[in-house]
Amino acid sequence: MNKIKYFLVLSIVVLTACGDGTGTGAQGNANASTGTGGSMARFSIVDNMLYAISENNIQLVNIEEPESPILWDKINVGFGIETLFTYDKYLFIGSQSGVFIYDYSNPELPEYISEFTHARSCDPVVVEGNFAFVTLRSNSRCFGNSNQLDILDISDIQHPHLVKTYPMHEPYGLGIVDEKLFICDGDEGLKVFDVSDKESIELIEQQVDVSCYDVIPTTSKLIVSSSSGIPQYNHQGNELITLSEIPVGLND
Amino acid sequence: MKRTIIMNGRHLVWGICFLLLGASVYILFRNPYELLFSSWIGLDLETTVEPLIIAGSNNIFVGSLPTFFHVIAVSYLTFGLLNIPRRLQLWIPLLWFLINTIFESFQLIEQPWIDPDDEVKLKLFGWFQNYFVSGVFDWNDILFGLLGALVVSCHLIISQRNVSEKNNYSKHKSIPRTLLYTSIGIISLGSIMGTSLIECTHDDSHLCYSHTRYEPTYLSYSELRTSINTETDKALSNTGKIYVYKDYLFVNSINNGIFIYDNTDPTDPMFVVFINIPGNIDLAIKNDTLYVDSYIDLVVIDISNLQNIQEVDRIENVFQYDQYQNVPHNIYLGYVDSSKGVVIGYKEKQKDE
Repeated sequence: MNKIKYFLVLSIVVLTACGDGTGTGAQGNANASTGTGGSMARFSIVDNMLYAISENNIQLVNIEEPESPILWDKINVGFGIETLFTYDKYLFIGSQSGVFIYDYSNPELPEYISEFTHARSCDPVVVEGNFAFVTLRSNSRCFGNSNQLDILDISDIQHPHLVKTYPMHEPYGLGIVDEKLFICDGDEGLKVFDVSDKESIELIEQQVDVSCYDVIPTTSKLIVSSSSGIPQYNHQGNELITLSEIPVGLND
Repeated sequence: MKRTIIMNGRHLVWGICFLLLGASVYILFRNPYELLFSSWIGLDLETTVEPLIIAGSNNIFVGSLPTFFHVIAVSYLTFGLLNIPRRLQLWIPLLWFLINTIFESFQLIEQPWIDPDDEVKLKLFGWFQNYFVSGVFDWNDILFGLLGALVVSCHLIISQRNVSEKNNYSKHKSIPRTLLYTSIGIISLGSIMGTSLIECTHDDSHLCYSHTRYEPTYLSYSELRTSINTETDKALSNTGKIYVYKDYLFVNSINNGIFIYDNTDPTDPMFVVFINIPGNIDLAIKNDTLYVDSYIDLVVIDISNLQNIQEVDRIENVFQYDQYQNVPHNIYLGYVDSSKGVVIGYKEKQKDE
C-alpha cells in the first residue's frame, strides 16, 4: 500500500516538475510536496534527493523512504560553499569564490556545467529567466572587500558572463519575482529594484528600518526574515505595504 | 686544511638564530602547531598548546614576520652549510625570496587536489595541500620576504667590502656578538609587536582575538540526541532562515530550533509550535517530513500532525564538527575536547586554572 502511495506521490512530483519547464523564480516550489526556502538556504530538495551543504561538499541524501533517509553521494564543489538555489534543471551554488552551476536532470548525479568566479566574499545567488543575480558581501567572516550585486547572463549556461555590477552596502539574502529584485542590504535595509533593464536597474523602494537577512518573494507577497521579526508585505504596485509582522521577543 | 660539513660557523649560527626568531613569532603570537617541524618531531601541538600572547593572525607583523625571518634564516643556513663562491653569494637571498614567493603563490589554490581516499598521496603531499589550501595569499608576505632578502644582500655587500679592506676586527668576537644582537633584537621586536597588538583588544574586530582567555561549553552527544521536543509558549528570537510550506511559515531561530506559524492569513500569522533543535540552521520539507541539521547530525522530523511532532530518524555525523558554530570567531577557544560533545558556547576561563 505504501509503495503505491509513494509511486503516486512520485508521479505527481515528476509530472508537476515536467510541467514547470521555465521555473518559477522561487526555490524549490517546482512541485507542491516540497516547500520554498530563501536565497541563504543550504538545504534543497529535488525529487527524492536532499542536497545539504557540508563544508566544501554537497551531501546527497536519498529520501525516497522519507522517514529513513540514506546517505548518498558527496560532491566536492570547492572552497567555502554557502548557498543552494535550484532553477529549471540547474543547481546554482553560491560559494566564497564564485557561482557554480550543476545540472541535476538526474538528481542522483548532479553534473558540473560551469562556474563564474569572482573575488572572495559571501554570495547567495538567485535566478530568473536568462539571468542570475549574485550578491557579494565582505565582512568579518567573509574575506575580500567588495559589496556588490553582479548580474550574470546565463542564456549560454556553459559560459555565464557578467552583464553589469552594481555597488551595494552589505548585501545578505535576495529574491526575485517578475523582474522585481529584493535585496537585504545590511544597514541600508530592504531594497526593491526594478531589473527589467539589466544594464540600468532602478531602485523603486527602500525600507531602511528593516535589518533583514533573507527574503522569500511570491508574485504578490514578500516574507522577510529580519533581526526584529518576520514582517510580510504586499509588493504589488511600486511600494511595500505591510501586512503583518511577527515580532521577536513576544509570545503570540 | 680539515674539511668539515660546516663551511661557515658564523653564518650557520645566524641562520639558526633567525629560524628561532621566526618560530618565536608562532609560539608567542600565533598557533604553535603551525610550526612545520612540530609535526615532524612527533609533537601533537594542535590540541594542547595555545599561543603565549593571543593575537590575530591577520595582524601584519604576526602574519608576515615569519616570512621575513625565514628568508634571512635560510640564506644564512645556505652560506653556513654550502661553500658558495663569493660572486654567487648575492644570488642566494634572491633565490630564497623567489622560492618563498612561489610557495606563497601556491596559496592562491583554494581547492584540495588530492583524492581524499588516496592515502599514499595524502601522506606524501597532505601537508603541502593543507598549507596551500588553508593558507591565505598575502602581498605583505611577499613584501616581507623581499625585505628579508634585502637585509641579507646589504649585509653581504657590507661584509664583503669589510673583508676586502682586510678588516678582520670582528672575526673571533662574532658569535657572542651575534647572540647579543639577536637577543636585543628579540626583545625590541617583541616590544614593538607587543605595543602594536595592545590596540588589538576590541572583541568586535576580526583582526584580533580577545586577550581574555575562554573555554568552550559543551552539550554531550547523548543530550544532543535526545533533546528534540516542542514548546507552545516560546518567544521568537535569533531569526535566521525562513521556509514556506503549504500555508505554514517556518522560521529558524539560529542554533535553537524552528518556529512554525499558520500563515493562511498573512495579515495575521498564528504561532503554532516551536521545535527545540539544538544547533539548527537549515531546513527543508517534503511530504510532511522536515529535514534539519542539529550541529553534526541530520534529523528527520514528522510534522504531519503539528500537535504531535516526532523525531523519526537521525543520521549522525553528517556535518562537520564546527566548534565555532555558536561562538564568535574572535573568541579564542583554546583546547576543544570533541569527545565531550558539541561546543554550544563559551565561558571566561578562570585565572587559577
